[in-house]
Amino acid sequence: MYPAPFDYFQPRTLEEAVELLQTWGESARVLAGGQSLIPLMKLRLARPRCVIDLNCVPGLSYIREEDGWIRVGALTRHAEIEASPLIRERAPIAWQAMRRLGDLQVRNLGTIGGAVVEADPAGDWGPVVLALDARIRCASAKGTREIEAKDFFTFAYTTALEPEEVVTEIALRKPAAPQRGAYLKLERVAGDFAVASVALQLDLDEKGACREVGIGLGGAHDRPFKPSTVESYLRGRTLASETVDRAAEQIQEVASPIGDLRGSADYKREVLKVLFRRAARAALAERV
Amino acid sequence: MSVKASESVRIGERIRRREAERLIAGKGTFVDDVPLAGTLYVGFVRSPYAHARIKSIDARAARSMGGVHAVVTGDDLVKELAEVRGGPARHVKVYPLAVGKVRYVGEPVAAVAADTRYLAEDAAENIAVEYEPLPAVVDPEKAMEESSAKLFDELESNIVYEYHFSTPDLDAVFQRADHVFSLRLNSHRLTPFPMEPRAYAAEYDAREGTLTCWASTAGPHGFRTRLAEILGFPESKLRVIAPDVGGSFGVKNGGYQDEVIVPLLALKLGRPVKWAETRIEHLRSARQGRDQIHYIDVAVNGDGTVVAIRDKIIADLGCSYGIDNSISSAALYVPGVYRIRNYRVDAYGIATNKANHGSLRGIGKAEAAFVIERTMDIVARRLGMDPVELRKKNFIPPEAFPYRSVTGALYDSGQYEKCLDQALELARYQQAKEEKKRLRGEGVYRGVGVAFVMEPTSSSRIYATGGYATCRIRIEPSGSVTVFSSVGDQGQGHGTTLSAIVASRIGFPLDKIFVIRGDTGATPYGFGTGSSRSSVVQMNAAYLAAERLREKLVKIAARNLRVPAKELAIRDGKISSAEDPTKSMSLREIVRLAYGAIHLLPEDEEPGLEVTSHFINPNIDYVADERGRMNTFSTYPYAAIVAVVDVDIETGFVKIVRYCTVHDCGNIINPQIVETQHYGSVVQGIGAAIYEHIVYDDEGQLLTASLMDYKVPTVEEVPDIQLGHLVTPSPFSPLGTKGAGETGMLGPPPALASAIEDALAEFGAEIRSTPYTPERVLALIREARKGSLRAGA
Repeated sequence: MYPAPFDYFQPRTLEEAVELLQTWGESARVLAGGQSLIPLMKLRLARPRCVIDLNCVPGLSYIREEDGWIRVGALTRHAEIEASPLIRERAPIAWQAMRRLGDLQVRNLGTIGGAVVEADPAGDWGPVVLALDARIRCASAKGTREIEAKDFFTFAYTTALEPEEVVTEIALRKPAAPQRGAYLKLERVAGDFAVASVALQLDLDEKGACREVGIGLGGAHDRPFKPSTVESYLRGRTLASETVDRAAEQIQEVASPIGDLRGSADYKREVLKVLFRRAARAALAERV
Repeated sequence: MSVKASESVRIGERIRRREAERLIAGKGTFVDDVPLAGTLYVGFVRSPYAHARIKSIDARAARSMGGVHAVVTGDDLVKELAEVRGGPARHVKVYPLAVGKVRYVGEPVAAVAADTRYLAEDAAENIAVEYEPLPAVVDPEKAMEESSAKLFDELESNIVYEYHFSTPDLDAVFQRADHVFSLRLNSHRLTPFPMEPRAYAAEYDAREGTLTCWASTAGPHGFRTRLAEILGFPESKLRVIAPDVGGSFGVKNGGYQDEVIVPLLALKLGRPVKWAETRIEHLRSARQGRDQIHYIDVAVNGDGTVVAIRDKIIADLGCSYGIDNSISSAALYVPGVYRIRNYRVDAYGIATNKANHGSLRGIGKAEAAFVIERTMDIVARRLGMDPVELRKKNFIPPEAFPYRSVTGALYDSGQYEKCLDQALELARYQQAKEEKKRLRGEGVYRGVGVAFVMEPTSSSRIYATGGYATCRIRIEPSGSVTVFSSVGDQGQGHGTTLSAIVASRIGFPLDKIFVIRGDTGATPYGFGTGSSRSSVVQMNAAYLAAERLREKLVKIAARNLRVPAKELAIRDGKISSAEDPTKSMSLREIVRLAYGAIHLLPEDEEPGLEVTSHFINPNIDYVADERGRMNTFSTYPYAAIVAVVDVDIETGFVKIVRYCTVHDCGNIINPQIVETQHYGSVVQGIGAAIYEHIVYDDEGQLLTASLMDYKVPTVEEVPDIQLGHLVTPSPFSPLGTKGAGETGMLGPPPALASAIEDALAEFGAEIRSTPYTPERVLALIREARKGSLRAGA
């Protein structure tokens, strides 16, 4: 629990931060809330030569609504997102996920940007950003770009981010019908990473047919996983229980989980099916 | 002797823990908090292999690093130290660092002392160890086969311990029985998991020639003796201090392979040295427990009377580097609370390439309780009997106490049926059963389970746990009271309990009483806290010492007031005559007189007010009789449990709706302490039943080496726990107390199995091993369904 030696930088502006990244490249790691990086460093599983601490960079912590998006600064803490009335009303699945992420201490320090970049296949943010078709804004010394969530996660703990880039914002697509969503998670003990989790966001037309659907799965693959074929299957269909069952079976089929101490691959597939059915039921329930 | 309400505090009164505020506010002093100027820090090189020969160690690079003061290896130690006692069957020499071979992942191979802990870890990384990997011995049953690789070249096999016991003519009893059932039951491997891992610090004073060690241990005196023997250092010049200790649950009892490294380096270097174990080091190398397989045959008559049990125990002892009483504790107590007079057990302790196995809250007895309670439930189901009725039919009846069990154990007292009835009532058992039926109609799989567990406490074993405790009390000349306890404290609240006992006898207010414990320089020799012995031996020792002081105070007053002692009573800081209240002396005056005016003492009294008393565990057999029978524990607390669970049959998740338990630990000194210990104990048992699991893979690699993977229950997993007391005083001690704090942990594995099975009764699922993880519960349902399909076809 004692990290190997490293250099530490505390940039005061984003420009300074991306310049440092440009200089140090792959040998640097960016420190946001430190809830993944610090334990990994203490275990000496991560041995960066240089740590760039973003916590003194201004303007990276905010939650605001803007032309169809909910924009969340990368340095915004999970606890701030959990406490945001905007998130709770406009993107309740993110709020539900925050209620289950880690414990109070983790939520007080951990950030959305850090969690998304960590790309844990069983993390809570992955499924949510996938279900809400989020866009991930990155900055480097060369400029900025946006990466769609579905293209962001490339493998376990691996993203499309270049070594010189830093995530500055996560823009969640504002759901047309915020209440038609659910985030369900099975966890061994409270606050654990998911055995399996399902984030589901629906938009139904007046006849109850599925106008838009977003699904994100945790514990389902070697990365946070978006089952696009299942989304396509559901689009335009009325969500009768046979349709939901069929989609749940498809999820069981397309999932390719990593078996570990949280559960075997077969078990995770099985419960992903169950969780999807339950998430659909919750999303379709008439609320008063 | 009964305990009477007397003076300033009453035994049995609810008193808040005096220690709690300081600890909760973060103002405790644990070993790592002890400030020592110029401290060097230790880092260990630990084996990445479960089983390997050490071919070479190259520490040149580490030694040449600035700020590195010493590197030691096993070969260095062989030259200068005596071996660590207690290797397997005592035939194998074990040293503080591996010599020749490593036998588990995490075994210490070399140690470094450096200016900072960071540097110590960097230097440890720079030590190159060349290993020749050997086949890992992981499965204890395969380890028994002749073809298996062996851990110890010195031994003939991996069977390092055996225990056999049988009553005569057992086979005939089995032949006559109406039913015989055979089961394979097993308890899985756990770690005791204290909040504070192990920690040591040491400082050598060259001018005085004294070595002071701070250790997070449950037994500072024993540690001091071991240090003296291993280091060859005079025990009289050694002082061991266990400051605040953040829990033990068995893991800090007894010795450790590497425990002399810190004092050894302090001696060598003449500088203070410290090492606080990290959680990963702890999970890899601290002792683990519970790992037993039982092959049990049970003979039952048609009316449900259990007439005989035959058990074969295979205990996975890991690297077997120490004494482990888990096997005999299990073997002696499988018959449990039932009147079973025909019993045979053949127990084998197996060395495997895992961390050492040893004491864990409820050692051996938890495994025994799981086995017998699972057996009772399964027999009841297979015979179509009510599990409550089956238990009642077989209970040892209250009139049979003190009861000599088939294995020679002497149970001090008990009212088992009454305890179970009280638990059924607390849980509204019948109502719960009806509610279960109603909920099934709504698609909820609810189960109501029962269990009855017994935890023999306060053990006495030759050279291991002594079997007595000592308490010295001194009323100081200025009027405060110092209590010197031979037994330490790892969070049990002994400071509060001991103060209350003393206050109740001598009439001094609680805030004038101070307890010193955990310091070998100040306290009488003793065997540490374990086996729930404090409430048996330590509290009674304190009671006897305080009672003697009370008698002395009264005698002094009697002489000076010229009234008979029997007329006098202590009240409100005074000793006064009941007949004539004007005849009165303040306690303060008596104390001053006892030290300063000794010509006024009664003729046969010595100066001062200092008394030392012992209490010896009653009824202990130190050696077995000609048939192998013996009693190694002095009191036998027990608990009845009714657990209510809901099982999610699609995911296998178990939700504990209610956990109701009634326990009997004899007279209660302080209900607040007994209750909080019991709650914690139950939660730890829930961890053992569902969440916690030490997992090694086929190569002997520990897969649960961090808290990412070793899951302990959080507050959200803690159910509604309802606790009731039943008091049957032990007839064998002045206070009538029994051990408290362990029965809680024994309950959940059998009680939750019973409840889960009840929830899944329609599938006919049978639980035969812990833990009840969601995946296992789901698998259980699936197998049971397959089984019933096969049976139907």
